[in-house]
Amino acid sequence: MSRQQPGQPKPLPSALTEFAALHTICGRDVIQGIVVGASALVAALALVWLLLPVIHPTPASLTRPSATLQVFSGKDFVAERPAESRMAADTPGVSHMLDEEAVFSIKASVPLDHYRYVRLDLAGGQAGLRYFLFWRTVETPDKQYFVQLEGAGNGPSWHRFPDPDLWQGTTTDVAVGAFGTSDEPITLHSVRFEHGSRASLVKSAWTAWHAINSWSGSSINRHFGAPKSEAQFPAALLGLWAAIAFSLVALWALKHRGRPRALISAGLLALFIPWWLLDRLWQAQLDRQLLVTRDVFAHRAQAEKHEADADAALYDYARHIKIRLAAQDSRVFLLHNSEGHNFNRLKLQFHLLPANVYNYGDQLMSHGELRRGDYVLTLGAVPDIQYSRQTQVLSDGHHSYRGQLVDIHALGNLYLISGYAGPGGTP
Amino acid sequence: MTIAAEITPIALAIALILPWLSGAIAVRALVGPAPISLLLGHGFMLGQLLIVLLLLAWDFAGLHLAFTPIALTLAALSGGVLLLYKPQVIWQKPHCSGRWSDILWLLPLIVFLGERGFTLTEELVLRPLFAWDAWMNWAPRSVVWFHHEALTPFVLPEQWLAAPSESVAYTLGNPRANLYPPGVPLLLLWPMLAAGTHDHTLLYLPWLLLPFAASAALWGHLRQQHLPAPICALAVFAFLSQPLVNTHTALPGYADLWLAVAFGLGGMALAQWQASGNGRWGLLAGALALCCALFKVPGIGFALLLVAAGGLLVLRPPARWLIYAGGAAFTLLIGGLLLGLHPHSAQFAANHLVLNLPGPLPTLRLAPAPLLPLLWDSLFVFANWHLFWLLLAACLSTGLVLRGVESLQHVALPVFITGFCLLLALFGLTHYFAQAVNGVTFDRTLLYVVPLGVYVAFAQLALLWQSEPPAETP
Repeated sequence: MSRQQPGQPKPLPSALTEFAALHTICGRDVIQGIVVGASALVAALALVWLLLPVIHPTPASLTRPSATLQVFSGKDFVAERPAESRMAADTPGVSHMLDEEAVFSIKASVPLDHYRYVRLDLAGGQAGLRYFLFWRTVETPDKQYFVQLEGAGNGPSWHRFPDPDLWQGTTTDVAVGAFGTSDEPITLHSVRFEHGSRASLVKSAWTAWHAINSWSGSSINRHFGAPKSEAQFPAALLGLWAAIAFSLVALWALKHRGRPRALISAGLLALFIPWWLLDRLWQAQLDRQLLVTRDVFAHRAQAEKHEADADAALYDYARHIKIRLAAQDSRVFLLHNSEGHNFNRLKLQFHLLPANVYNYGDQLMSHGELRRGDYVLTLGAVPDIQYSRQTQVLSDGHHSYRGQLVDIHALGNLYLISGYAGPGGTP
Repeated sequence: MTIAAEITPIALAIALILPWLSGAIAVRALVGPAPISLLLGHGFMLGQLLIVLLLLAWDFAGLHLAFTPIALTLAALSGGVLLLYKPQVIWQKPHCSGRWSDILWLLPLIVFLGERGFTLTEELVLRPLFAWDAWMNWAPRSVVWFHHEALTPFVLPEQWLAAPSESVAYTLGNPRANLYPPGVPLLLLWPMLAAGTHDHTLLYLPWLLLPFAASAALWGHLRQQHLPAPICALAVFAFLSQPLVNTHTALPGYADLWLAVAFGLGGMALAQWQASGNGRWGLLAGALALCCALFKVPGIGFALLLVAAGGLLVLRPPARWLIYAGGAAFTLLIGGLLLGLHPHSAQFAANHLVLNLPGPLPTLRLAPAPLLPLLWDSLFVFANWHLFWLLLAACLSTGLVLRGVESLQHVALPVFITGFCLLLALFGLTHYFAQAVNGVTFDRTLLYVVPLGVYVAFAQLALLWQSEPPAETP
């Protein structure tokens, strides 16, 4: 490693105008590179298409040929347990769900191991709902099987069932269930059992890649690009396409040495077209997420956002507690029957700030550690903690403290410590 | 949304813009005339460093933390620097061919920036603090400091219990977080002081500005290497489109992206020093190393990498020494990772080899672990990075084939490789492997080297692009 131009510091390149020609992207080599890159992408796409059965082989038990597809029209299904149902254009629909549940069922004999995919045509939206396919089989009539249909709910969707242990036998009953909350009516148009094919594989992958996946606790840690259960991750498949295309470009470059700009142009095209497609998938995911976010938080003040958030109960409870503390930075011992990082206890600590919270364990501290004027907050059931209203003593079996029960709430109790009452004992 | 009723928007705007301008002035004073993309790109990060240092100094002097006096001090300092240097030229004019075709090529980038920028902005502005570590580790310290108008100490739980009644100290629900460096909580405290509240989504706007500022610096540095604007635009797209980069903006409050950008900008500053011979870029790299150390505990390691690379540029030791030392370390790492693929080796080493690190650094239990399959999934299967690692591999291999050893002489490359290897060693050879298995930290820790990796990949292309005389335009 060495300086390229040692000696006197010189200003940042200021004579670059002489290189102005270098800056232009339009040159013969570049155009040739673009043609080469585009050709490589087409050839690589064809190769990936041919290789698909190798990349995602069908288990042997799922390769039996079948004469016909099995298609069930929506009108043949029965809508079970709806609060309100309706028929529209010969399709069953559920306008209002009972107990956040809508199920469409049919008696059907389907030899599952003849089919690898299910095409579902169902409308009802994705936000707030999860869809499942249920079935019973002749072979195990007492057992009900089910699998989640990631990405269903927005018209036609394709679902792949790679687990041959689950996907076997002949059905007696088939059902599609929707669970959760939705403002839209849920309408089932058709269910179709399909054979394995390249087209079905791509369609099922497309469905999975568009399955709504709202922010979760792990979103900040990593992004899969598809439900974790899916074998076809978009970055892997499109990456394979890009890698093959780039390899073809490299082969071309070996024959045309001394043309780095053509190689750069071709290589960048081979990599960034698949990259751009991946990014469109990501943007679509962000857009779907934003709809959910808007639905919950748009046009709300900050406090109203908290009220609408998933942890609203903890936020409300923290506000309830804070006005009962003697000072905003009072010391609070938050006890909770949990180990490790528990969401409720940690999030409550955050909402209680600037209260000075000690957030460990489910037992009282030793004499001297817990002092007069401190508060003890038991979040949820904390079995070791006992309190006697008569004697006004708080104890965990090891230590007893004189204290006053300041507040009783569905989420927990708040005590104000006035002194140490001695070791051990019950209140 | 009733912003005005909840916060002080003008003060918040000043809190965002003033450090940025001050940082840009500081960069200008440090390195001399530079393109505005570099001044703004580095200036944003340097401005945050100025705020962090000013808040620390303010508290050390025993003064109450308040927005107006600190803002006035920063403005006065920046004005003083301007008066002292009296620069004739603030920034260099951009070198633009002015061809319509070049401008046309940039339109996709503008469309992308608009679409992604609006999406991330709306997500950030609408959703209250969401990400787990943000409300567990980072924001609580800012909230306490905001209410106390002082940097109240945070201590380990056992110290908190033993503290005398007259002292005021806090302890977080995650014990180790009490030892985290103060950089990120301080740069969040600053907009809180300005806005007059600790609870508003707009306080997290620095997380939105950070990747865009980093992109400005990335653009500027690549343009300095004579790479055409459309290819620089691809580099910006390559960085700003990565899902994990976007997620750390949309769900703000984590420190990872701050460390990633500080380390990346530090590597770019070193490369600029190497290319221009202007040692003042080394000072900027030193400031960015300080940022790394102030943002996260692992940042200390990355800061040392930047300092060590700066030392190499000064001392210029014989290349064979570096090759021998680097080769030996790399061989050990690869050997350890391959050994880790055999479960018995991990068992053999586990709990027998312990490495005690000084200060806030953790104690490491050495044990080779089967990291490589997880690494493969993270880099090439999951969608964390789109196709970044494939791009990097393609660029490095192309550079090596076409330019040989010359392609390895770019200082940013060994900085990137050592940073990456540091992470592999941490997760592949120590008990931190458990964090790779549970998926909590491994992928987002790889983020630390991504901004610099994007620069390294395109810097290789710049080397190749310059190696050929321009072809005639048909």
